[in-house]
Amino acid sequence: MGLLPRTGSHFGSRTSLAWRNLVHRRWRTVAALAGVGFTILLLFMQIGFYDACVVSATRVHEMLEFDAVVVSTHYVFLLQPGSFPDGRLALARSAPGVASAEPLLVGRAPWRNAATGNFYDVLAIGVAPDHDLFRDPSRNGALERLSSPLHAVVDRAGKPILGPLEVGTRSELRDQRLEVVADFEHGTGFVANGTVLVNPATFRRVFPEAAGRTAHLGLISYHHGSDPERTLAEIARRLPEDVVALSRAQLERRDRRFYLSDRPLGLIFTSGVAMALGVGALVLFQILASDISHHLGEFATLKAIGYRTTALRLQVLEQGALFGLLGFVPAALLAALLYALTSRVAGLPLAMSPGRLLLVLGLTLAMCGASALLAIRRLERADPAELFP
Amino acid sequence: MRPASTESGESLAVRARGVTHTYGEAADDGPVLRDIDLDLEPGEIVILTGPSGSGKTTLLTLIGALRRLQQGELAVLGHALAGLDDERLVAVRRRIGFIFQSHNLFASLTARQNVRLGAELHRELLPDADRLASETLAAVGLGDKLDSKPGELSGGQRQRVAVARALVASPRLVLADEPTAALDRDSGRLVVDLLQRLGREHGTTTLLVTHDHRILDVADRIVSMVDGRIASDVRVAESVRICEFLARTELFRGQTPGALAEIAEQMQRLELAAGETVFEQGDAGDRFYLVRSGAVEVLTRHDGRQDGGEKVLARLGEGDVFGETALLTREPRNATVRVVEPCELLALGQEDFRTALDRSKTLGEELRDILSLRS
Repeated sequence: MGLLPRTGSHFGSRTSLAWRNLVHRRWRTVAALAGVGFTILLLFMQIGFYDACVVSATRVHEMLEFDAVVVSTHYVFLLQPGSFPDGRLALARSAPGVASAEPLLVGRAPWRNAATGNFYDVLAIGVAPDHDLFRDPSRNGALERLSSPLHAVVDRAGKPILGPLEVGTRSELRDQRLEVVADFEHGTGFVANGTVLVNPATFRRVFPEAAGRTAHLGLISYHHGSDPERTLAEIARRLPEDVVALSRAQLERRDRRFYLSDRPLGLIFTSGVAMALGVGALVLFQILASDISHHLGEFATLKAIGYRTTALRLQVLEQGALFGLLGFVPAALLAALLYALTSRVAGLPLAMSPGRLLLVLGLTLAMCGASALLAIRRLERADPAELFP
Repeated sequence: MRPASTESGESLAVRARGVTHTYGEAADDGPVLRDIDLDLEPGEIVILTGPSGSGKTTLLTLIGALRRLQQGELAVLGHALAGLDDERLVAVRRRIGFIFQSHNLFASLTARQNVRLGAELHRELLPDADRLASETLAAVGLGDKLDSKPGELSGGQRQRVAVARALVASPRLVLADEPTAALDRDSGRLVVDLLQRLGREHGTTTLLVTHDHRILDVADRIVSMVDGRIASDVRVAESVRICEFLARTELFRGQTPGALAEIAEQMQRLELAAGETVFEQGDAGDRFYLVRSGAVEVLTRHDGRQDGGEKVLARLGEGDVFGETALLTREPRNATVRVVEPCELLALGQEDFRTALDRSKTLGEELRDILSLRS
């Protein structure tokens, strides 16, 4: 007995009992594969959502150019940042190694769908027109258009519910009339339905509570060649206790932690993965155990004629792995399709990646292995001595 | 592991001495096997019979290394089974062909693939596994069903596939439980012919439990078990020959084959050298004799001579009998019998001889008639 399906003639090779048993009862196998495949699809979706959660948490950060940030000690996450006097940024600017420290205003505000008139929340960012906000320098030119308080730069990757976002579209951010004068494409993730950039004055009209010389984030860029750790320490040393300086990595970690731990999203998806694995293992166990019970006499005969129990155990493991592999392929294809669909409809950063394929394959094989190991115990019931009644 | 051998050094397929087995739950009822002694020679076909519960299945599973030996000595194909670990028991089982009542074929495999499973255990057979499987199936009359799955075969055909699976690796020992029960006469004959051929060509020993009278003729021996003991162990060909000798004598002519077989079974084998005396004139009569081979002379002392001079009354050879007169008349031997050529005698004790007589009035009457004619 071998591990893989053999050709019909199989000269010199061993018969793959696992494969033959699988293809013999086709409809039963198809039903079983549907169960296993659905479990694997659930794994893909749960892990996909979890990863999307991780990516979304820092999706906005990715498009911004900074090495460190100054935030209020009340900072929770991007949309609940707390505020601080923007004079703190002058202190940061004085630290050796710091090239710039620019204030940024962020908040959630309703954007009117120009086609339907309905309002949907977007991430509003107040940014000075001369601030090189974007990591991608080619995008920064568009910010000059924000010199007018009636202008807005939008992310085309916003969700479809926001309506038309083309340049020239006239809409409203809360009650501020705006015209889209430039756009870019990035994506907002879980944070909001889209991103709208306006100048600070416009932002303060939309968010009266942000009036005065306040900032929500201070984006700090270092001089080329400066020591990041030492520079961050120097900034921190100059700042009073109402603000903190965080490296880019520290900020991203905090925002991820907010979504995955402080909010139950991480727990939901992690427990979803665990439940999918549990249900899948149970389904597969039932299939394998019933298959062993169905062939108990045959297995006992193989034991009698000299097959080692280990060889029969391997056969069950092989059958489990085959179920997993055969269920994996359609599940991966379907998951890729659902990712694309979900990404388009919900604007979530969901995409199939080699790493995720390997992760789910690994989990699938582990699940199949666990099921097979549980089912294998039934082989002990195959007693060759009972064959002579 | 040490090889089992007869006293002459010839290897035995199976050698059992004092084998006793008790099932845990049946401990109160005593052992299911009691002190079994059994030798199976290479190439022999031995039929094991006995009523249900007589222990034949347990004996089969012990010889097949499917159960652990509890008491006694058991050597199979040269390997003493006592104390063998699982790995070595598996190694022994690989050299045995098992035929079960239930065919237990994998429904997902073709006939050839099912049979291949028996060959694939042996690395050296792997390259030829397909050919061997096809040939073995052809030998059991399924050459045209190689690629049929069990679901497409009749019960008899499935059983023959199972037989082919057991025989594909030309095992040294075949253990079979009712291998022909599900087969018609012709198919059953094919199977036993194959077992005989394996015995002839490969020295394969076959121990089979069967109640199929159609195949009794292939047995070299018939071992009968009752209550966990071997009640009889009959070498069929030899028994038939002895019965033929007995039936030819005036003493036993007209006896039923069953009665003759029973007498033959009770006879004890004696080997004597030339010059040895079987009994002397004047001795008490205690046995009846049949000359199996060699020759003896019947002598009597000359009346009135004091020098012990003897007169040869007769020379007896293969198939002749003597010694019955003293048993019937309860008088001393009326002649001396001496071996003139190395010979093999079969002796029936006085008790057994009288029992045989009492069993049939007809026999007793005939004997009296014979004696009256002699006198």
